[in-house]
Amino acid sequence: MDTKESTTYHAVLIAAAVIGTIIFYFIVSVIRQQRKHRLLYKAKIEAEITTLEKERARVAADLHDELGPTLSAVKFKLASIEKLNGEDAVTITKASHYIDTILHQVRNIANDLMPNTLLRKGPADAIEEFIDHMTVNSGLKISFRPENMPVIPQSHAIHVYRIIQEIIHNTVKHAGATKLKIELYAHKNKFIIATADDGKGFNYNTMIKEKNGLGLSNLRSRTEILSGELHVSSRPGKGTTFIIEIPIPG
Amino acid sequence: MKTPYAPVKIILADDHEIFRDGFHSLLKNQTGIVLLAEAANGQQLVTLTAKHLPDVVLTDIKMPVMDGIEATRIITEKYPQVGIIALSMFNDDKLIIDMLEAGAKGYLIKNAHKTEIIDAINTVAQHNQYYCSATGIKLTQLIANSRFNPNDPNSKMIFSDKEKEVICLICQEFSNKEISLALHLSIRTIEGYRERILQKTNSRNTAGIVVYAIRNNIFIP
Repeated sequence: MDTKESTTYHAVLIAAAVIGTIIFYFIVSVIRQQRKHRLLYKAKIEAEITTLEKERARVAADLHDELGPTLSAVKFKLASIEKLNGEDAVTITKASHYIDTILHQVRNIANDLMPNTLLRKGPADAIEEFIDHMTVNSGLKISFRPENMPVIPQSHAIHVYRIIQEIIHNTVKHAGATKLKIELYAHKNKFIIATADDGKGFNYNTMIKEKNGLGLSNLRSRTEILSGELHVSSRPGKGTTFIIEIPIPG
Repeated sequence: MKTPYAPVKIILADDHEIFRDGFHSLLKNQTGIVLLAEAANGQQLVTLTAKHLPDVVLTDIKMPVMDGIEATRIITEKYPQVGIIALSMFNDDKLIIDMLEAGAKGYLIKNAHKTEIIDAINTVAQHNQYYCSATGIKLTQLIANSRFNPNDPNSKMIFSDKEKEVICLICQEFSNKEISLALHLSIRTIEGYRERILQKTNSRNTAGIVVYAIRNNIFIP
């Protein structure tokens, strides 16, 4: 190799190294950017959902703890009126019944927003309560086994509850199922939510693209917040199975 | 045990002034019941109970400073003769169980009817348990399976087969009319049975019968 050839060779080598470095740097920064974007997206969803849940809890607490006792007090005041003639007595009785109706509605609204039991007793009890409520109102037979349920941190509890609530709602609304089985258990260092119904099933990909797949995207967001994985297996006519794996925080 | 004619002395605890005011109005002209004092939280309740030694305490469950569950635990330990009634906004089943396990003798929903409130106060003053008439089937099961187990002097009662049949139907939320149709008996007869069952189980209402029946294996849900 003469001097000229050697110089060209070195120049090419340097140019290749420079281009390689630039390409490498470009790829790395794209990956980094993507990772950062995903983290930001997750943080954004988490912030949105956390705000939403906080607001729900506040409204529910106000309804339950402030409005409830005040309405009861009004009822007591009415009941304390004495020496009524027949017509007035009927009016008072009716007004009392109306207050009972309002209280009942307030209770339902508050409970839909944020179940008291979830805050006081944790997800297993709250899920049980929700299942009882849905069984009465929908006729769907739901079996729920929380026996080996691990302790779920408070930060995760609301999402676990909402995930199961969403699955039950979906099953009642769309699945046409008669039975739904729900299991919650710990496996290795993961917490598993597994459900199976005997309904008509659906096409996951079609559903997720359509607007009415809102329930499913809600499930995905919640799972993502918990850094979990969502597996759905559903085929028309074969029922639907959800498996959600959530890492147990150390 | 209280003498039948002495008024029942009570204390009310609730963090809502409006609720306490309403409750006060409700009982202000009620003979046989005297509202001695009102507390705004559990800690005040414990202090006022020590000071007045009432027959019955009616307390809210969720309160600031000290909740009703903790206050119930303290009062039950220090003054076991004081009967405690939990006041729940709605049927907060799990909270009611906590209260019963802490030592409460009964519970009422806050919008209970005046006659029921008076009935509950008098029942608990006589050291008997009281279950609110609005008790759902789920709660009766929770109570029957809870650690709440008051001494029931009538727990060794013997029931006829017919009575057991009626009890089981009551537990399944059958009305008197439905029971009479199911057993081919007149409504009058069923009413008689129900009355006798209430007496034998020492209950004030259906909820009491259901808890008794589940606890004594007469009815298995």
